[in-house]
Amino acid sequence: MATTDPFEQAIADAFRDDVPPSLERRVRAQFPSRRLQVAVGLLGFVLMNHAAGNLLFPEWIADAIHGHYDGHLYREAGVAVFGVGVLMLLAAFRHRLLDAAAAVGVPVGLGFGAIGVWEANRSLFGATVHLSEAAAAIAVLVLWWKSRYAPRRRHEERT
Amino acid sequence: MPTQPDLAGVYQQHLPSIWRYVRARVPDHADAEDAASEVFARAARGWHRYDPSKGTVGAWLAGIAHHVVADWWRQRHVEEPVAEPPTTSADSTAFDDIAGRVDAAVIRRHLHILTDRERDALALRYGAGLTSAEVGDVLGISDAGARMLLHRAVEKLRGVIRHGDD
Repeated sequence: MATTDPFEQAIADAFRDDVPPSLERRVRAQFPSRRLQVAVGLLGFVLMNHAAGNLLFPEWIADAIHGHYDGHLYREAGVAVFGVGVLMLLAAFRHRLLDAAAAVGVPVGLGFGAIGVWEANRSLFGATVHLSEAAAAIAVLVLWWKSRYAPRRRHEERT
Repeated sequence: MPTQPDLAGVYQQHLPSIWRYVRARVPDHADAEDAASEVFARAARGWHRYDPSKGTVGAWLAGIAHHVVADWWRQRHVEEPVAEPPTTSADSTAFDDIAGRVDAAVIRRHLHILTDRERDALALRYGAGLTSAEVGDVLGISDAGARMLLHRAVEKLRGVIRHGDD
């Protein structure tokens, strides 16, 4: 605070105390980034679409990618992807789940992205779904990283 | 009409001032961290109740911090100690009468001579960086009352540090 009285300035100095990094981490965890929540929600949405495709149209997918059809495998994969998608959507509204969502959703999304590259010359639709999952996963990774580490770095630069 | 600020940006901007206030009011470092964290936990829960037209985010957070600190003292069933002015005049030489300068460490050593309310007012004004009107809002007194309280606290400190046990 600005004051012209040196004595009052000394009082202000007496109250000066740097924020402990441990406190900054605790408080940051209570204030999620809105953009991170949106990215996690988007990843959840595309994963749910993927799961719905596996569960409802497994034969069409197998045909589109010229692959082997195994209904059992498609349904089980669909259920698993559905579960990950539910976690993502819950995390979009419950920020305590954001760390878990990033830990689970990012590898899954990036893995599907790699499959999307492989599918690019087989099924444009499949490649689009998978690459959109990868894009959302990258957005989640970047925003999660920024929300966790960027403010601390700024604080450390200030101090 | 003032708009609701972004929740995520709030803590980055206001954590230092809230921490300074809480640290000035809670003697134990670990307890002060818990209390400051609790301030923002309550803020996150009550964010929908914050009305920008009724005051700044900083004043709203300081109000929460004031309650958290009061709860902390109440849970320990004790009142903040108020000591008599120091009996030694060792710090009297620390005051430069001409320039009015004094070391911050000397101020810290003498804060305990103030009443709880005076310390609270000083911590809100110089720690949390509130205006005197905002200090008055937090303490439930008028702007003029807050100014008087702050003036009295500053002059009491100035007098004790300047004159020692004279």
